[in-house]
Amino acid sequence: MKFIPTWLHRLASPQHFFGDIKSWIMWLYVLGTIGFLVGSVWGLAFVPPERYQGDSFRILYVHAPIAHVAQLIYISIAVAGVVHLVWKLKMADVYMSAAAPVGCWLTALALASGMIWGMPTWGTAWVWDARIVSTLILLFLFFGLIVLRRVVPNPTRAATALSILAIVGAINIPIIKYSVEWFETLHQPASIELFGDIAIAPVFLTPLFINIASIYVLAAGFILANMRYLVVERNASMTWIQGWIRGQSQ
Amino acid sequence: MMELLTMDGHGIYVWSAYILTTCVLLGLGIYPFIRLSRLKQRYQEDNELK
Amino acid sequence: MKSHRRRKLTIIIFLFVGSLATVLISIFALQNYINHFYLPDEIVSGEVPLERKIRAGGFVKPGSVVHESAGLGVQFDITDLNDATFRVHYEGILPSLFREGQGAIVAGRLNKNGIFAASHVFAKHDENYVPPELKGMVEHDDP
Repeated sequence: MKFIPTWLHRLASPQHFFGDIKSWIMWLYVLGTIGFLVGSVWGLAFVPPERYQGDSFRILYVHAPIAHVAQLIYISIAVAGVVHLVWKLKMADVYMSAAAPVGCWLTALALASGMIWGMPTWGTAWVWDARIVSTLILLFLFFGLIVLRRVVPNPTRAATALSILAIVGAINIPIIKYSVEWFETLHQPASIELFGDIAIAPVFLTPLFINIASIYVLAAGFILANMRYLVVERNASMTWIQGWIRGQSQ
Repeated sequence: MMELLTMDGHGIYVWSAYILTTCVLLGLGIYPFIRLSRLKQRYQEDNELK
Repeated sequence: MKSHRRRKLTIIIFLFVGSLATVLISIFALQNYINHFYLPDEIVSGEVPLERKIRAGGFVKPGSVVHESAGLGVQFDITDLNDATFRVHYEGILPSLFREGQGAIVAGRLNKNGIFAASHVFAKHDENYVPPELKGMVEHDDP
């Protein structure tokens, strides 16, 4: 593994990570906040209503990006689990614990906003539909990842258990993705495919893409902020942390 | 202006979804910093005791 | 990559693919038992159990929606856009997205006269998002 760029190598060391990361987080927060405000105001006020759904379709601009990023966070945790099991990289373990609560909250938000959207359009807030149930399972997997760290006292064992749960649970992701095609669901199929047609009219698209990008950026910021906290918590005895606590250095 | 608030009867759904999302995002952004400053304070108190 | 790492990675990949296959096969095998969902042609052909809680879905046949003069009662036809059509009776408030030509899912019981007594009606919306002025310019739109 020689071809890792130096800046990435620096970030793999907890001390350098802690020193370098604060300004990154601030930039991500600023960029993500501006993006989310622009995308949301655009979607709420500057886009015509949808032909059948009327104004309720505007929930799309928060629901879709958040559901998408929540699933992506789960995949990234599973990848970190593989990296932890195979290469024993400390930061992979930190990443798993930092990303789990972010993914958990975003999944809960995706479910909640979906329920709110379902009330006026489908005529129900909840149905036992393959897409909705598999997303609920995703929420429970995130709960599992958060709880597991607390119930396993040995940190090394906890990290191994977390990795295994993350990897096994990743089976759920293709099920969420393809549930709308394989089963008779009330949830409609995907409107945007990476290598396919887009079923959303062009006027509606720009704010959607702005919000998707903004939630990516914000989620990255949240995860890094959590990692920063965990690095301090887990390295408390190190001299550089002690220096930071006494206020000698940042 | 009222139109933007009521949205033809859908306003309550649309706005509650946006407000809920904003609140959770704010919480996710701020909480790690609150937690870190609490941790720092606790370590400082521990150091003073030593 | 060192050999012990490669071995670990291989084990992980095998376990993952193995369990993915197991879960998917069981879901597809169980689908017939857990998913009481029927299409219009299955309802018409009579292979559907009567007076049992089931779900069915299709398109609301244009021109078939009749509101009863008293109360919230409403009747409409669900069709697969071919020959198969069955009649639904429902008492309650229809979701705002429910309209003729659009997809709908009904939950309830099929009685022996072939009428579906629905306890719930869900409106399905498709993956197309179109502004009002372009209405009718999309494929499968407004039959």
